[in-house]
Amino acid sequence: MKKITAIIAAGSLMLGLSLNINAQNALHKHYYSIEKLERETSWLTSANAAGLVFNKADNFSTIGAYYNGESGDLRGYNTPKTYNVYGIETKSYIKRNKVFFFGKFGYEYGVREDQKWLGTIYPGSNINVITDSIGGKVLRENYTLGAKIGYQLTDKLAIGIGFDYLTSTAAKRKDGRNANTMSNHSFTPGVIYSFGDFRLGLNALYTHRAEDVSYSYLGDVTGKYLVYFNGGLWMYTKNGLTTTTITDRVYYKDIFGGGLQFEFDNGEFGFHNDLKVGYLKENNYEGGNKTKRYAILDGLSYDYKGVVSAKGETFNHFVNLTFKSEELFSYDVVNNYEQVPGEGNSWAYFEYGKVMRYSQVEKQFGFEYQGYLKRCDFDYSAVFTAGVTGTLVEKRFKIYPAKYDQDYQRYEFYAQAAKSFCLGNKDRIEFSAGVAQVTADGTMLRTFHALTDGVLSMNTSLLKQDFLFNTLGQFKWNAGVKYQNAIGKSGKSFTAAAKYTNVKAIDEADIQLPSSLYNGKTRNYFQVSVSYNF
Amino acid sequence: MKKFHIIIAILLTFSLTGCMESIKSDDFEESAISAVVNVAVSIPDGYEYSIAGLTVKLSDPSTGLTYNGVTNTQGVATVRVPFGTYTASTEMKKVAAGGTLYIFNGTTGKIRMSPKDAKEATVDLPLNVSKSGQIIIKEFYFGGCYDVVTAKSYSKDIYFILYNNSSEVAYLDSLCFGVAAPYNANTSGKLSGWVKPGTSELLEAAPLITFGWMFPGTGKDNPLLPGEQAVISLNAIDHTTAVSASVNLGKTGYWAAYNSVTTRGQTAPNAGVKLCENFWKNGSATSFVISTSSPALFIFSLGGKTPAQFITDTYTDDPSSASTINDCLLVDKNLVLDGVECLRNITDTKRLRPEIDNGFTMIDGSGQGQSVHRVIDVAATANAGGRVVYMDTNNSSNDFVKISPVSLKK
Repeated sequence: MKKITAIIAAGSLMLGLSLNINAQNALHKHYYSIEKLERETSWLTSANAAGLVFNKADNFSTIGAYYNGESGDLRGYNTPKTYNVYGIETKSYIKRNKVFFFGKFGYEYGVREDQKWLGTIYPGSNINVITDSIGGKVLRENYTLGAKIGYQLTDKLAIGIGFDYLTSTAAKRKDGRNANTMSNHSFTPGVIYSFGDFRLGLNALYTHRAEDVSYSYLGDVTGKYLVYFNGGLWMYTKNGLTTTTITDRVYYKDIFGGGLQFEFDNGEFGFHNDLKVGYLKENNYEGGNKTKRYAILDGLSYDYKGVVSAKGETFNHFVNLTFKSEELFSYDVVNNYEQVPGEGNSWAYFEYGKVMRYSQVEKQFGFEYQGYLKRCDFDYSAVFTAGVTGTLVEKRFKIYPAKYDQDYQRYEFYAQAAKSFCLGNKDRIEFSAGVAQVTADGTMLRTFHALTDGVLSMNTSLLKQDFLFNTLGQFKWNAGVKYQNAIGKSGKSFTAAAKYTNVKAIDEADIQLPSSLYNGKTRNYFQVSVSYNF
Repeated sequence: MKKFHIIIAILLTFSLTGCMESIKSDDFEESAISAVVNVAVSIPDGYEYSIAGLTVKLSDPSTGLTYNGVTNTQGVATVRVPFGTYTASTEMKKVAAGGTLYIFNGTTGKIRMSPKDAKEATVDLPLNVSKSGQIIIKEFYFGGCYDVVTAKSYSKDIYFILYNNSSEVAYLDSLCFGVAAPYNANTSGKLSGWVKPGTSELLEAAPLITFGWMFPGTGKDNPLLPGEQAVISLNAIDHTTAVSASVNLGKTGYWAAYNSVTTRGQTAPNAGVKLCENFWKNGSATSFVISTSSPALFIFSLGGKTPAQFITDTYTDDPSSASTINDCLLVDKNLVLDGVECLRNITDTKRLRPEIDNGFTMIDGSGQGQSVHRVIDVAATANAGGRVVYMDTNNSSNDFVKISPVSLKK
């Protein structure tokens, strides 16, 4: 009992711990990075926290700062013209006897310019949102906190638990100015059973997310700013603003699920499988005090990751397989404003069931090969990556007797190479470059018995722009440099990295939009980071 | 063997996807997203007109969706609609022997069709009968215009125009006007307190709120010739001197709803503007309030009573509040000569009964320099030898259109 108490107390101080137990391995620890650790042991990125017990590396921590910037006219309907993100983060993988810890903490500050059509903090996080069409500056802050603990209970059995917490706020600085507050937390307890070269894992997952949004106007609203309510596939209603217009929304999302892992690893050959399944339920309310539930979202998601590995003296080979499926179903809640029974002058909304309006199915698959030319474990002189990802999307909106369908497919082929050079005895400098090509196709809209009246309309301008952006051919290239400076003999190091990516539109579907919308347009991404590793 | 394990894992994952889509496919079936409404139309006793072939419109104020059906020989229209709360309405015009034009129209109370209700419902739609009016509301300008200097909307130039739509001389003497409660139409299908208890049906009267105005005269002092109009405003001055986009309401012969004591918050009218009498006022307001977004204006007579007697007979407490500030005079529907229901959104709730206005009209919003104006009845105008006759079906959805600039600006 005392031992367990001590372990838990140590776990709460994980961000400050730095235990340099294996001094004789300090030399190769100079070349550690979080990415390399997680590459070597697939269990580290699993939701099953018990997988921490398979971490072969020494204790490792990193603390650093980063900047990500993007700009350019090749952007989606709700992508800002420029987006600058500044952040600090720290991560640690620590072990002590049979107890393994992982911890992370991060703070991020983001500035979006000319942001429109975004009523949530993160794009795509909700279907039935309240948005506006006026571009403005949006400031965003978020804090992330995460921890995992794994314990080797016996030689065959390991248990673990993970916790993640994210809190975000965002505020737009121009009418209609929305202020958003969001918090998200998840718990993932898990267990792994090992038998010979095989390992079988099982974990549960619960996630809760709550987001409040409130629109306000400081200027004169007469007949000017309209608030748009989206119902999927660009169906919307809008209101002229008055003192009685309700412009607050609350979105609650719960995900119940779990994961199943299966691995074979004999040291030379490995096949790691990780399947996550989650059932989603979301309730959308109107008004800060949730006077009316206007929409419900049901969903089911699958996320499969498979890693086939072959490790040799000089070469490590990895084949990464991914498959994701997300099915979302949006329901309109049938509300009736009625007098409250037994109360003379009190009225409220009463629910009378729900009717499905919109469904969205998105599937992604990926096949990737990675080859590592080794100097030693955790130190590579060259890396080569090539792969393909595919995305298939189907959307459907139905309100009797009208039906609207859309589907598109998008494929990205890419290759990336990185070469590391020695500088002196211990320092490294790495240069990387990559290219990618995107090709896509689809059907923008099939219509049956289209609606001709009512407040519910389709925003055909956004429909076309969004479809065009999703089916645009693109060419991407990137170049990067990373410098790693070993400090002393205790395994500490300093890392600085920079990367530039350019994306260019290379063709445009003929769907009757202004031809200059995306033709020849580009977007630039710049990433800089520094970190101290120990 | 290892390769076999890899293939099995991938195939298993692919086979699991799409499960929920299959399960949910029934939720998209027609029977799961819609229901059937049978509307049985009936005509008042004493009238022998056929009700077959009438277009019955079902409209949902929360979505603005409308669905139409046509009555069969039994007067029943069958319509399939998506779930929601609807009102059914219909109308027809008949000319009787002697030339009297009868307008039959009617609107049901709310018909709730939801997943928890029966898949098919039958409702009755009894028609009301009224006659086409002599004096009608020709134009209503309530949203104001845009003042470029202040960059805000300017709404002191509200006016409406009454028009003699008949071939006989009409008299404004003792004609009354005002707006119905609530000032702004309730939103999202909410009801006001002025409904029949326990129902969503409007009372058999129009609730006049705060101010009651009357044209002066002893009976024939203020004639309105066929095709002639009268302009009534709240601030009868030339507004164009302050706001170039506004109108001049201070012309000789125009009318003002103004009283130096009860509406001292309004601007005194120019010389030459005639004054309406304020026969009733409730509360502490110092201006005649007309909503700039969704007013319901109507004109009526006192039915031969004196103003004092009318007030005594019709004063009614606001059923939704203990305060007296929104108490109204309930003007019987048979005393209402004309009315126009203006909404800011088709999801707003109407305040005027079907016999007064079986529809609604809208402008784009305040500060737009728009008004609602009657549509010319082309056939009736031709028959009148060129005198303009306007549409009057007691349904502003048909009878009015939005115009800009307003008629006094042209």
